[in-house]
Amino acid sequence: MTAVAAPKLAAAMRSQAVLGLGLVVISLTAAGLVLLATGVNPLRAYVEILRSAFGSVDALSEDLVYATPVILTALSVILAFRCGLWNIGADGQLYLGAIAAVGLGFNHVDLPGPLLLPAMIVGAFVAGAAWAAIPALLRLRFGASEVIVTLMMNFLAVTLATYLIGGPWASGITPATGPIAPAGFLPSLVPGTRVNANLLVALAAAAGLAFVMKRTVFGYRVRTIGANIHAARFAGMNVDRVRFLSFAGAGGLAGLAGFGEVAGIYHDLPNGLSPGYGYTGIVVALLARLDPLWAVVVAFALGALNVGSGGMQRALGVPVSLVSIIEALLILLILGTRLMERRT
Amino acid sequence: MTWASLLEITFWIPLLSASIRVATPLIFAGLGESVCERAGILNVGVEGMMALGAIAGFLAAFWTGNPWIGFGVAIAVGALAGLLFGFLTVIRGADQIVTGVVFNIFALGLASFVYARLFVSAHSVAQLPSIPVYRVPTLSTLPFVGKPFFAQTPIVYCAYALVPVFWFLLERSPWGLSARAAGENPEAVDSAGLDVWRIRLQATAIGGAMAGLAGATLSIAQVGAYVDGMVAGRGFIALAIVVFGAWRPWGVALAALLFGAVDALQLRMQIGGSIVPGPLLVGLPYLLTIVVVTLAAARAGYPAAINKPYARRRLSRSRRVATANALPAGTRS
Repeated sequence: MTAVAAPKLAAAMRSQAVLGLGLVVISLTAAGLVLLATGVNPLRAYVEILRSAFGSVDALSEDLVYATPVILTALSVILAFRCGLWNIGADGQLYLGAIAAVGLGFNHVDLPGPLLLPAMIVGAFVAGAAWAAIPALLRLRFGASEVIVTLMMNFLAVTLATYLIGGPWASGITPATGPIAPAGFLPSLVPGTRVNANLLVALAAAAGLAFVMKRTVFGYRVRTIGANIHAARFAGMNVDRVRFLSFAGAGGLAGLAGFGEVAGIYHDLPNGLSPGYGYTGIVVALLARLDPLWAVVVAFALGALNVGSGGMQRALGVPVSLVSIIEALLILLILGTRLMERRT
Repeated sequence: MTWASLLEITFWIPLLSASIRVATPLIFAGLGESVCERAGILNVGVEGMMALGAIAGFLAAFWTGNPWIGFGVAIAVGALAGLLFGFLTVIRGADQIVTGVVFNIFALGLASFVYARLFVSAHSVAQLPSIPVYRVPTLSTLPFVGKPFFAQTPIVYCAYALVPVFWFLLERSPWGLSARAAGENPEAVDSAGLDVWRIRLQATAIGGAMAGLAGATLSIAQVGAYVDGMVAGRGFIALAIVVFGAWRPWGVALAALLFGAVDALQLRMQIGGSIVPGPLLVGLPYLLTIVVVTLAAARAGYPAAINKPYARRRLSRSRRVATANALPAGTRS
């Protein structure tokens, strides 16, 4: 991407943008054919998605609500990926963050009010980081595939949450734990909506990660390891240490997403807390080409797509899983056309 | 469950029976994946291909009323999925892990979409009749092993039969030799005048077909219905089994049996009560997978050319894939 004459670069970017747009159209058409085959007018479905995603202040606020955890899980995937490791486990790390936040915010723990929220944030970050540290250690010390281990850790995290909800932390009324103390509630950014202060945390994290990657020694090391791990070793970098810290940090970012869901939205730990935010994070990271700031933009777009398809489901009875098909199809097309290749 | 019951044969025989039942889909998926990986393709998309097999097999069995047509359709759909995966990774040279992970999102979404769209109006869960158990004459009357091994549904016997078939295919047949060579040293295969792409595409098709069969075994033979999320990580467990079984069909089968035993034991302990709370026991197979992957990693020798796209010689240099990888180096695991 470097050392290309400016006009050449602009032309390349234009042609990439055109091709990218073409692929979006192709994947929407392909999903439209699936819709036609199941007896739904795809145009009506897409109009319904747009209307439900952008048609009202409420809809727009819900787009932001969906984007908030997804920005953080995407950043998590990006940070790990930048040094050549796969984090399929953002979903599980999100759960651990939520568990820590609820554990601290639960009425058992007597923390003075103003200290509760900071404690929950730190606790969620540490819990997510610790959960991610396990696959990182197993990978770096024993060579165990982090793809398999992080995925298994997702199932274990859900198992743990289900156990806590049904057992020790049960509320006895709803399929959720008891509520956290009101001092642990995140303030709403827009009164009357569910948009909460964790959106600011997510935006700050994106800016912070972009800064770290571009402007710090640590970011330089991460980028070098991602580009050429042998060169990084040869240059005398402690590759394992950087990769471990990145992966743990990735887990912490996903943990913050769990914190936001608990403190900003639910105020307890419900069953099925995450509708796959960790996996959507992978999609966002790939579409954003591992760029933290682009991840924010893509997360909003996918947030709108998801919220919109919820409206489509209610209006036309078309299942929301259509969204996964469109998103994944788009990336498969990009992979097939090698649009994401980095030209060096 | 009491400790005394561990001494009784009435505890062990049903447990062994259940282990074999649970292991069957893992054997199918593991056999297919070992062929893929030996040929140099790491197919992380097994999970999604199993989901496609589960829905396609279920629908075909439901509409025709014949479970065997269901299995056939699932195999065909799985093979198509495998070819799609092969097109992207072998011919287009896309990163295998990225493609696999995204393929899973695609396939799980598609399976869920199709089911929800077709059965949303049905008030009751669409259920398939269960496949009758076939008792193998004389063998099923053997003491101890007779019942668990030879009083099962025919799909279990297919798994028994396919283990030696895959052993022969991989380790004794000429195709197996070239497939293994394609996974270790594709340049040599090319020099010998064989088509690396063709061999690898055949391998991904076989892997996909077996994943489809594995998924249909879950939906048609075990649950008798399609449920979202029914694959529940078994595709990834199959990946672990392949590593633990050292990429050999017999090893894969034994590793699958180990997982079957742990899963069956976990179910039994939930019913019988134990010191560990029931909801936590569900995590046991996943925990075992982590342990097994870690243990096997110490001695693991993935095929040398795994997750490395091979650019055919006759392609011009500019179209070579070697330099064209979008993602940071070292992402292969």
